[in-house]
Amino acid sequence: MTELSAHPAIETPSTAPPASYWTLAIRKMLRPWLVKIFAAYIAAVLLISLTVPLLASGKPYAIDIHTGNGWVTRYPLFADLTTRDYLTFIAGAVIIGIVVAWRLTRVVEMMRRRSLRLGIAGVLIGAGILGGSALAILHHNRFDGTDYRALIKSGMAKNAIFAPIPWGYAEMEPLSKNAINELPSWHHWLGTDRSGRDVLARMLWASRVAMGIGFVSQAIALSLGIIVGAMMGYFGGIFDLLGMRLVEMVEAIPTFFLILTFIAIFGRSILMIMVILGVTGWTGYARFLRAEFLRIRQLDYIVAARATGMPLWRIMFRHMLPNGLTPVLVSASFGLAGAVTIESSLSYLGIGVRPPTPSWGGMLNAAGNPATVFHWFEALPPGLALFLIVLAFNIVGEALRDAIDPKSLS
Amino acid sequence: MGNRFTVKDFIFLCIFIVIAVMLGFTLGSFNYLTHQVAGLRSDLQTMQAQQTSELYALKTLQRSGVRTTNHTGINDSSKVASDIRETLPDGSRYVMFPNPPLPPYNPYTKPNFAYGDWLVESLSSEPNRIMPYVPQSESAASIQASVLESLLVRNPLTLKYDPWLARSYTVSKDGLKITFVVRRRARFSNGQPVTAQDVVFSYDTMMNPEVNCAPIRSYYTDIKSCRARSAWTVVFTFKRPYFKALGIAGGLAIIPKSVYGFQHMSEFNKHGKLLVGSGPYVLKRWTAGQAIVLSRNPRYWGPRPIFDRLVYRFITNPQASLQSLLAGQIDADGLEPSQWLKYHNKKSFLAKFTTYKYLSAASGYNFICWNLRKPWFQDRRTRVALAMLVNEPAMIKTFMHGLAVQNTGPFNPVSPQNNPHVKPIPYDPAMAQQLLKKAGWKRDADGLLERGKTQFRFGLTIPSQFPLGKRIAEYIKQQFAMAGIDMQINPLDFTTLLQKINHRHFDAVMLGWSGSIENDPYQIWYSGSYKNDGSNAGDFDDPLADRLILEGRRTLNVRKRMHIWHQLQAEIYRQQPYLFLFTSYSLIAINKRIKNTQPYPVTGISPGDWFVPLALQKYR
Repeated sequence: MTELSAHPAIETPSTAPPASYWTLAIRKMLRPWLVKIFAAYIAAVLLISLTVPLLASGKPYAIDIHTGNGWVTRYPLFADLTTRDYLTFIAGAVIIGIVVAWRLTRVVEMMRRRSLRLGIAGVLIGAGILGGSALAILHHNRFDGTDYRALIKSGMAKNAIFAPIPWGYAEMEPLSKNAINELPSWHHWLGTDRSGRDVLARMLWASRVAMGIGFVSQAIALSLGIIVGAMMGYFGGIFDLLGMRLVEMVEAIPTFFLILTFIAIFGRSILMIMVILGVTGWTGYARFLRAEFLRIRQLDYIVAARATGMPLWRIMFRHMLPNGLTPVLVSASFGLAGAVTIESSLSYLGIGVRPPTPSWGGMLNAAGNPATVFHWFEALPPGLALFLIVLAFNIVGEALRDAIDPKSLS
Repeated sequence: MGNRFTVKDFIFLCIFIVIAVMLGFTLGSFNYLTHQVAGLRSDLQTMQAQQTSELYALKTLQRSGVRTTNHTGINDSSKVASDIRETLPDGSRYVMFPNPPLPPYNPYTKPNFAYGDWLVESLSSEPNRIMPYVPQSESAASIQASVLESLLVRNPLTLKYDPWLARSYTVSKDGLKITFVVRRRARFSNGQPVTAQDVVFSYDTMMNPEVNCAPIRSYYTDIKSCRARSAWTVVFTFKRPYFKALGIAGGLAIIPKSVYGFQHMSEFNKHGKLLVGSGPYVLKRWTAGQAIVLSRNPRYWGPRPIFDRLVYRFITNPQASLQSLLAGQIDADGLEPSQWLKYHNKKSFLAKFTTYKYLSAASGYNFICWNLRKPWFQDRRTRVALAMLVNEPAMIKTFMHGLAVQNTGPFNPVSPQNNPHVKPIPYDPAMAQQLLKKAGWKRDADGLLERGKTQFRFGLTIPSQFPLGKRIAEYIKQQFAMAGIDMQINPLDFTTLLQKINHRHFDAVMLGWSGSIENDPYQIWYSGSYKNDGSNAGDFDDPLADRLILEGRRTLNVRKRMHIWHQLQAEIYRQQPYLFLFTSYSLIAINKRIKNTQPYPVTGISPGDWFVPLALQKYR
């Protein structure tokens, strides 16, 4: 969509390299310092959620263990990572690679740039899929409940290199130590919760749930919304009629209660919550896109494109979609915030993710709920993180809306 | 185009509106009339019922030759008569109370005693139904206790059975025949007299296989027959001696045939809120999600109930419940250990609330029930190993702040049933590893225990509204993980959870049983209690235990019976069909405006004794 500078308002002086519509919009969006900070916060949380198995874990990166035949070096943390963890890493690496390639190829001459970028992206994605599937076949999830700290204490292991935060999210201090509800200390930077688990480790792991829910559910909602909305807007007529009725039907479903019902019947699954949020959340996007498409399909350039006999998908997705997508993307950022809020509400009610998986809402619940003793150091971090991530999505979304507003782009 | 609003349209609209309004009127007036008629009908019915019962009483009085002049029919306390408790020449025991017994901590003679006011309590879960005999939840049982009555009541101090709805009872020497004579002035809340027919009807209803109440029915399997010998006399005959015979026959909740006498008894299961009895309170209102309100039965046959209303508010969250207590919205509440720790010696709290901490026989125990039909739990050594992986004393100290006692079997630690010689299984992970190895479990390449093709990976179902249970489950999960066992925690809504248990769809489940002074282990531990949604959900099937249970039930001598229970407990604990956890202390806080709240030594607090002095009354 980069060369599609058809928008009259963002015609730029012909200094090389010419900035695209999106580059301009993002640059403008990030101009206020507040938005910069919050965008950085989102990026940081995203990065943490992708890499948290390496950041907070009770398993050491490397350790020497005494076995029958002398000392053997083991790598428990890497052995303990699941296929899903590795796939997340690969997906993250591919996305980061594509973004970097995008930036690097800016300087390449206009005509070759597109094919170069597509080529790099293709190679990266191909490598990712290949590597991912190889991993999924070859890698076996290991189940490792060894208490390495006890092992070191007993002299059976040495030279352990632990992660920066040497605690897993479900790892309790031994009950005999009675280390529950501890204040922040050098040992536990944010203290321990009521079961003797490290609050910071749980905080970081919980970002996974928040980000996962937000991005996956909105990705499902966006793709559904775009497809249905585009069909309704472009074809109109019976498509529009049926589509809008479908939209109305889906909008009438109370999402929260639907999730409650599904949890009651099928038990807890974060994936299920994501899918339900996605499948019921696309209607707003479909409405937006339908309105845009109804407008755009009357425009001359679409009529011209149709007259030249261009294939349907090309007209819809290359020529119409980029011009109609902007309001949808803006509302998607609010949708992200909404999804995170719904998940934390569910967890706060004690019916979100399966314990002991941490989520910010669940941690808030644990801090204030079952016992009277309210510990600020347990409630503050998840509350703050939740507040900030929702605020960040809203502020960045608003900034994006202002940035792509044609009246303000000049 | 054709969208202009014309005169024709206007006329059409007018006609339409007129028709709609007329239709509405007709429906409304019809509705009004129906209501009127229904009201009249129910008035007539109650009047008729009153008159029949009055007539009936008169007739019986006449027949028995009592002069009917100057008869108030309500309170015959002026008649001086004393309770009789004697052994008849043929060896049978005869007990007769001319008046229903007063509570041992008699509130009526206390200074400042007053009737009136409401008692507001909290329930930790909303019952899904409160039909007689069917409840599986404690909250429903506590509501029924104020609405339904039985022939006998247990004296909380002496633990003896005293006549209540019955005026007298006779137990034959061999214990096989119990004869009750129903009190003639006893009335159901709809005005009908309680007769021997109602007792027989109650028994028949409860024993009807179409009525869903298998857990309660399992206690009554030893009864041969229940027959009315006359209008007021009813006889229970037992197949074999049973130590709880008097307790179950006299403890059967009596329901009116005039209300529950359905054409087909399967209809009984379709109702959820039909609760009519002879008790001091009647069900006034059930607001879903909020509260159940019982109001004083104005036609109560016995001593006037003290409170005008009993309000049970559904507060699932212990923290919210404590806040309501502090704000004065509820009058009494059980505290969580951590709440107790924070408040029990706080002056400002003690100024407003009376607190009690005790271990009562009614306190049940928490446990994890293994589904013995699943491949992981079939071997005894495995189950013992699982118990060895859990450090219970440390768990009680850390999670319960020491306010609990470890269980070594299914009996209450303060009950004489409990065998003090059964030693708890020690926390010993190394020993557990050895036992698991002996049971055939080996670590596979993935680090999990494996036997043949079975990996040691199962789900533990816990009720989701039980924060402490979640913490315990998370701790046990970690302990099991160290041994190479993967346990997944599945929190479920309590109603769904009960369904899963009834359908036996679980690997392991964490729950609690409520206790009683002397438990009959038959309901939970007899192998036959697996069928028909019985309470032996894990399918514990042990010949020795079965034999001991049957033998214990037959033994009427207390000392001998206790000896059998002790053996049974040792056997059950040896088999480890449950991972027995602990019995918690009752930690109670009661608002100081309520007086006469001291708990009984074995049974604990008894809200029936409570009252509020006139000056402190809040609700009118």
